[in-house]
Amino acid sequence: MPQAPTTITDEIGIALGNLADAAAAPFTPTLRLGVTGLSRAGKTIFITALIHNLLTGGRLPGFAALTEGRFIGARLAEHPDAGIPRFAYEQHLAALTGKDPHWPESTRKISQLRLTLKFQSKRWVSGMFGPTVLNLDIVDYPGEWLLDLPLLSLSFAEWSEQALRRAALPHSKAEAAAFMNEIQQTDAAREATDVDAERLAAAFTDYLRRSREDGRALSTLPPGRFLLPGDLEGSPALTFAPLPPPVGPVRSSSLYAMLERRYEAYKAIVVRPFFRDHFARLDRQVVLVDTLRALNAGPAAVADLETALTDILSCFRQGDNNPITRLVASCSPPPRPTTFTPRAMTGWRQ
Amino acid sequence: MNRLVADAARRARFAGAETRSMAIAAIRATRESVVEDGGERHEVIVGTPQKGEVLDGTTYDGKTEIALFPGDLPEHPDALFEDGRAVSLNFLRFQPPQRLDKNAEGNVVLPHIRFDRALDYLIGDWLR
Repeated sequence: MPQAPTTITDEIGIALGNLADAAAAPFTPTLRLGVTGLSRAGKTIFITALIHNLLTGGRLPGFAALTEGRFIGARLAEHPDAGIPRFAYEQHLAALTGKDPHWPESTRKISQLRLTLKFQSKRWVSGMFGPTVLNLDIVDYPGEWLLDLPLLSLSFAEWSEQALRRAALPHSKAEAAAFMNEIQQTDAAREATDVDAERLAAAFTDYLRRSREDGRALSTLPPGRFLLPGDLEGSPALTFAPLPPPVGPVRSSSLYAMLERRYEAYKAIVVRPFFRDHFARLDRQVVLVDTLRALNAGPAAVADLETALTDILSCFRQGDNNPITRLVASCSPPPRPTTFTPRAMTGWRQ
Repeated sequence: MNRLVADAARRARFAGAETRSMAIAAIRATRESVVEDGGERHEVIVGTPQKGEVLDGTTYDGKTEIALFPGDLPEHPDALFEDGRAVSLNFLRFQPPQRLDKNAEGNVVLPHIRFDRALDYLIGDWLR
């Protein structure tokens, strides 16, 4: 009797395997990893290295799945989201490993890439069905967007009070002088006009830009989109500024009321969609910080970075009185933030 | 770094989120080497400073490779946080590594510092 290519036990095994594949495919678990950091913190390099190391099984002695021989491999998967640009991995790798190696161009918008990882699970039940598959979605976005999240829980009056107080600090004086001058000459109760709104917004944006450019402040004060407007440039949602409250009741035709409506529009058009569509869906979060740059720039920059980090990490804080984290909790497990400091070993003291 | 995020991390921990800070380099720009000078061996760091970086009055062109003696951070990191106190630190910025090893399959190997441990912390528990 000719021997069958497979035994009955094999057949059952294959059938079960196929069943498991079919059952598993639509339900491949997905781990969404957010990577952020203030601009020039090294996001692009971090993500490029992450993808390359997983694709090629780089030298990673501390990565247990690889050293234990359970990590089978990774491949680039089809882009899962038509609405988000794909992270330009190939381009960035070419910059780093080409003929004339250079650091890749920095990016200022959100991008995403999906890797499919295959590994042998240690768990008995999963191990029965052969290799396990996991989708790893890497989401890259500017850290400045995170600084906007606290706005969700601030009213226009509260935000204005904070912003004006910061602008009045001694070390902000030079940068904020022109803006504070405009504020002093503006009566918040006067009839609203677009000319006034544009004038104040321009002075405020100029102050934000200057406080960033002097090299001392590494972070940006919210609203983050004032300096990175993208396709919203010039729209009413980006044409407002903090104002001190007018004396007496606020009329809906007043300048104050108009700017308040625009502030709320900014939250509705910019902040909330980012929160809902991206931030709340993350399982893990990496926050990259370039500590050497801050140390180079001196104590004021270090202090500024500390404030920005506290603000950023507070987005992950859980609490009953924080609407942001409460929403996170209801959508998904809270992202696990991790802070990394890239390039920390490449410098030295003189 | 820990000092930088201490306050925020403490609050996040209190609230139930697990955080960790690590000093890493996803791509290491410099490599360690040893130079001999009059019979003495010195451990140095070798790398190519970026164009425009300045050290001891020399401005680099982004092509020249140099060897430097690494110094140390201040003994008390808190000193960096005191306002008004002059802390003179100068970290050069380097070009990415100009020569890269290849593995058996011909893929470029990117040198790093503790990137493997960061990776393990980030996704390791999902690969069990």
